[in-house]
Amino acid sequence: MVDPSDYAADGGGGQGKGPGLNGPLTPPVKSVWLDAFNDPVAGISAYTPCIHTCNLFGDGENRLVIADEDRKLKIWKGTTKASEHPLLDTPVAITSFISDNAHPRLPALAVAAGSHIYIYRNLRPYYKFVLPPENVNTEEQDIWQKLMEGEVVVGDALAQLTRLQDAGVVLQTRSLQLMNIGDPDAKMGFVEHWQGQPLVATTVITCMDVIKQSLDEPDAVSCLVVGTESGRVLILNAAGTAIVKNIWIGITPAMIAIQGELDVGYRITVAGRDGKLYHIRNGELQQTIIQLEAQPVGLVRLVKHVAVGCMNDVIHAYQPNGHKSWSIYLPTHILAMQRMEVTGQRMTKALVVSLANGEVRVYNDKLLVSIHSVPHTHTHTREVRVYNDKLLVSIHSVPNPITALWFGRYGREDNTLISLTKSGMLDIKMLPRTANLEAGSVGGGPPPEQEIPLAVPKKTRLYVEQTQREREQASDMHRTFQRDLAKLRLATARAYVKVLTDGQGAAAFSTSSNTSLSLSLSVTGLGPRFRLTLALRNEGGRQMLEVPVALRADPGLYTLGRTQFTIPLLVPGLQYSFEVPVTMVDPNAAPGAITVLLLAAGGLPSSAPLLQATIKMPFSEPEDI
Amino acid sequence: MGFFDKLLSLLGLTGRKVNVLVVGLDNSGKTTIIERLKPKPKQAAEVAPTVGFTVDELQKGALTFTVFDMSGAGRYRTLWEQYYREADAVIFVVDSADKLRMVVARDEMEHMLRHPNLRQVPVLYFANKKDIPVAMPPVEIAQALGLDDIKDRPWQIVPSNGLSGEGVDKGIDWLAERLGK
Ligand SMILES: Nc1nc2c(ncn2[C@@H]2O[C@H](COP(=O)(O)OP(=O)(O)OP(=O)(O)O)[C@@H](O)[C@H]2O)c(=O)[nH]1
Ligand SMILES: [Mg+2]
Repeated sequence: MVDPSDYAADGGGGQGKGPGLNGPLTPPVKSVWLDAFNDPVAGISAYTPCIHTCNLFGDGENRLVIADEDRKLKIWKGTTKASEHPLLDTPVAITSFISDNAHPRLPALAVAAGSHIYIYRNLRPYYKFVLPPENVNTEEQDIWQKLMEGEVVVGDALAQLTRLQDAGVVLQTRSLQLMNIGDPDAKMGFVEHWQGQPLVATTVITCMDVIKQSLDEPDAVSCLVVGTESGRVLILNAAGTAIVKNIWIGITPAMIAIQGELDVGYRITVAGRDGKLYHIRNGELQQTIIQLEAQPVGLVRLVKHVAVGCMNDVIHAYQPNGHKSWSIYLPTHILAMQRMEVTGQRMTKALVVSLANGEVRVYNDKLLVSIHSVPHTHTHTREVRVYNDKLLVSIHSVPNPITALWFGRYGREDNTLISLTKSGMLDIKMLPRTANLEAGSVGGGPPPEQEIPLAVPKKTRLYVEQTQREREQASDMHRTFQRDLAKLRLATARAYVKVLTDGQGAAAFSTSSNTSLSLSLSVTGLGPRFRLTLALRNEGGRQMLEVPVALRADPGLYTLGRTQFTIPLLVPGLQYSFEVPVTMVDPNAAPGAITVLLLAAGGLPSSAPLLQATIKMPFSEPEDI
Repeated sequence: MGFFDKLLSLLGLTGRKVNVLVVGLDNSGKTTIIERLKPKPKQAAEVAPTVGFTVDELQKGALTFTVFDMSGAGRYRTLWEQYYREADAVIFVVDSADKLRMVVARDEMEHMLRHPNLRQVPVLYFANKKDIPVAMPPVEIAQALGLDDIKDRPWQIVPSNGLSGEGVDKGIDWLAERLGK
């Protein structure tokens, strides 16, 4: 056998050395992939749910099917685009399923768009599944009924609809559209347009996947599973013609991940629009709800876990019971995630993640096993050059981030990774048979030193004596430790009190290593109008720029002429004085105090004040009229 | 077996046995090409994907070829190396129309050539399925597979059509000549 790491060194196609490899990873993780094909101008625009490969014509050669945002179904065979077919609506998701045990197997292609699933066989339209209508609020229905029969005028109907909406009812699109029309004639026309059509609530598909019926085999009969905007998960029959399970979640599913078989036992993990994970087990919504720290951006089923990528650049892996097993912290945003089910001698279920910096990483469980980035579209235009005066100081290429990932069989190759970029590039990579995705392969994993036993010295007499002493005088040692701990706590508390009480006088000075300042406050006037004078001197050897000053007083007691200002410059040795008018709000009240804070000079990261002084205000004379 | 071949064998001039290992990705046409080497009546009309491997004995001039037709399917490719030690020649079949997997073919080939058990035996490349319109020309295939870097053994690339048998004899002649020395 050839050493796999040996392989990765020259077979990585050189692209593994792309940007983003300068992380703290030693040795750098390389790419495990073979570069099969790259078309920088494939002109494809689609995200992960809209890219799929399947044995479209039953000839054993898998085609690439992309439901493009431009409402076209694009079919690729090998390295060329084979055909293009128009779609009636913007696609949401695409997948394929096996609807019967007939031989040879011919998968049905399912394209979800709006409230329909368009099913194709042999790439010919075969059947259209329509989502059933949802329940409509009966009052809203009544209003429309009356409006169309002419029992109420448009104005009254609108008032009633508004009342309903104010009461918290989620109105149907038709009502909302009516409310948004300004022109009265157009309103009439709109009602006329819907004449005779009772108000029904349509919903749309948000995500789609498949579940195996009873066998976990690649060619086994499978059923479609869809999530709807109305907060449901629907499981269809194998023919794709009827709903066999209707599960109410209450929150719109954004993504679903399925494990198991319909007839044997299954789990569906649902990432809701509300940033929570819901679990369905054998058709029942479970109590375990996982609140994520940030909105989910990817959901992938692994062997024992479901991995969820969040907007805060973290991937968490949860067990079915809701326990978190591990987390991966990433350097930048996650753009796409995909399951990587490797077939061959090793059955690995890994995770592919694409990041905003253009990297694509492969994780086997927690372990990073591969990093690569796709080449840039046009090297000369995707470059950023940094100039200092006329001197070119750096060139770096703008990453070409990948927005859609697919892993599966393409052509005749089982382990193919297909990526699409924002710029419309199509990139196809293949996993070599000997690629090592296991622990301790390319980088990562425990270092080899871990296997070398430490040179533990023999038990010396000193060691034996120490151990004996520890055993005999355990309570004494514990007591000593506790006393020292108490002393430490006392010292800490004292230092804390000192910090709190410092700066309570009318004068203050600080002499830290690089700043040395003195500040004294004085008050003139009899009240209720006083004048507060800040006498400030930079005792240090360096000038200070942009020193912010903040004044603090009980706003119920005093009105300050200004509460904050910035001293532009403090030259060493000069006496500065600043005056702030102070008015006592109620001259008869008991006097309070004013605190002056000198903050760290502009740009310094510290938030602790440089200096603080407090002056107690005198009693005020009554306001003379 | 032609009359001349028979005569040679009667005279005891044949019978030198050589082991030929036929490898290449699945569906490249290995079995089809081997069928074309058999005498006409024995050729099978249809070939099915090979499971594991099959062994055939063929007569070619003064040589008796023991042909190991390996399966190219991913899960069987580990079997190839079991036969490297005995191989006196290798036939590597490439599907010229499968541009997508050229990189996989190269990867498998490089593994083979680097394997310690394989001696410096001649390698014959069949750029098969040359009849398909999108087939890559042999020059491009040689480049895609990096054949120019092979310096330590004789090799040759021959375009072929497994269905009609075109090019197959030309390749085998080259091999026989190499092995006859
Ligand atoms: N058009 C064309 N088809 C060919 C040619 N050679 C073989 N085929 C076809 O390619 C398919 C695969 O041929 P096989 O001989 O089974 O391929 P193989 O390399 O033995 O495949 P495995 O045994 O699975 O490794 C068959 O359908 C053949 O008819 C050729 O030169 N041109
Ligand atoms: Mg075969």
